[in-house]
Amino acid sequence: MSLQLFYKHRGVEKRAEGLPVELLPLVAERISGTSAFAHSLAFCQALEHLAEVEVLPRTLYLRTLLAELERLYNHLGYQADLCQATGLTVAQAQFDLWKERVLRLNAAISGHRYLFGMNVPGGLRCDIAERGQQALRELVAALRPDLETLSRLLLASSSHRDRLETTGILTPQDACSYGAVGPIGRASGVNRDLRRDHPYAAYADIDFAIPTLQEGDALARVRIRLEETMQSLALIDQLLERLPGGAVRVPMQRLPPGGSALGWAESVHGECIHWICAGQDGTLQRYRVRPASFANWQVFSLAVPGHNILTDFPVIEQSFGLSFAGADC
Amino acid sequence: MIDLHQICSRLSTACGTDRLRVVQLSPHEIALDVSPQTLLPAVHTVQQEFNAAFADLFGLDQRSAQGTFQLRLLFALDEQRTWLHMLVDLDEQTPTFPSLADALPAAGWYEREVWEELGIAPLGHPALRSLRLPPDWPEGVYPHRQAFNWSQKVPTVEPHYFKLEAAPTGVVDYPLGPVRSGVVEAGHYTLRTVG
Repeated sequence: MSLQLFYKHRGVEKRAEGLPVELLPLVAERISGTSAFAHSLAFCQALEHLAEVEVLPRTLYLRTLLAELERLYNHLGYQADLCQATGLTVAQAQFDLWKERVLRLNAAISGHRYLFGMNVPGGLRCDIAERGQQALRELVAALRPDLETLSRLLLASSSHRDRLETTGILTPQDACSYGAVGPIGRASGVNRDLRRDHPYAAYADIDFAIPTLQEGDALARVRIRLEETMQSLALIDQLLERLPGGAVRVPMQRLPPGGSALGWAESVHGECIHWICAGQDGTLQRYRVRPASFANWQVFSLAVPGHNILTDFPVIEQSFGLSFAGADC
Repeated sequence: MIDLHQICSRLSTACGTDRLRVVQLSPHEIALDVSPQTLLPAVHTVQQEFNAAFADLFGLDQRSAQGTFQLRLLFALDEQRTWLHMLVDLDEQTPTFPSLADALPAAGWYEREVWEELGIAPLGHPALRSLRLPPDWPEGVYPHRQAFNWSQKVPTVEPHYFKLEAAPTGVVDYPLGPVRSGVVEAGHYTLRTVG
């Protein structure tokens, strides 16, 4: 297979140079709409590390909560897309319905379905009111039993399973040597997750498991994401229970001239890493983004050849669930 | 906290030099200076001995301030919860470094990117061709050099598309994309299959 990507190259890194600091998260979240929050989070953390700004505890918890909501709607949409590829229209509709409910909740609590504009350097643009928290608790309570049933039915549907088992295998050796990240890496034995290995926001304070499998086929990628969806629900419950009080934003300080810093977040696709270097005037002199999908597109073409047949291609593509724009800022 | 002294001494042994410098940049970041000649052994050592996971490779144009280009590699040291920056200063006249693509296959695309966008050449790269820039982008215009402004007009040239060799008899090339049905973004695949 030959791959021609990068039709979405927008020169985001270059565009960010020289812009005022308060506009920069808006640039970062436009790298990829479906991981907008993870990108603006990684970027704001880089700015805050550089300016040595201490973010408030409530901000850390709410950022974690919003990051998990982003994971939740993406993982639900992922299962819907894969059901479309294998022809399970009823299951597709069920997952899409839940995805839509999460997106509407996002809009209700943040003003944007994809959580744009929430992260600002120094914290969050707005708090999440008690009413929003209650809506979130209700959504989690209703989604959990439904998701358990849906997962059980999905994994017991032979027409779905047959298309996924041993399809598009990414071997653990390839995943490791090509640096696969996120759920794709974890379905092929790469036991890494920035939330646990380099904890940021409030991830060090709460309990969650990182599922890892060795098979590396489409089914493994599906199972990893189903399990991560359940983990996200458990995370949201814990975060709401322990949510500290107080404000959500502190004033941002000027960036020290010539300084550099790193910010990172585990997006739904895997680790996204932002590196910034400040110029003499307090704006960015150089901005570097390594989005998760850039690392994962390299391994995609390794999983397609072999014993797969042409009609396996849509299933393999959906099972990777890669982002085009997310590879290519 | 990571033991800097240990990293320093292990790397110095591996690279056959006693002049390696490791500095703590922040509680979670350390930086290590290596020369282009010691890059390969240094990468090998951090991977084998410190279980470092490759995360990024990019370059900086710092000719106006330091008279060099800088190649920057980023590794995650998960056990120590630390990020390791490996910094390689490159001569401004001949910015080259030995390609890591054989030893570290993940670096393949990143090296194409620094070659294309900064003009830093990975010597011995197995498939060096353009990656992110459009096919009608002129040679020698490097968007990540400091002199390049994001809003400047870039003249277009005759597009140079990458083409596969013709498929042998009994094998078909099945093109897919860049524009496809459904709400998906643009990507162009060529699938080769028997039939």
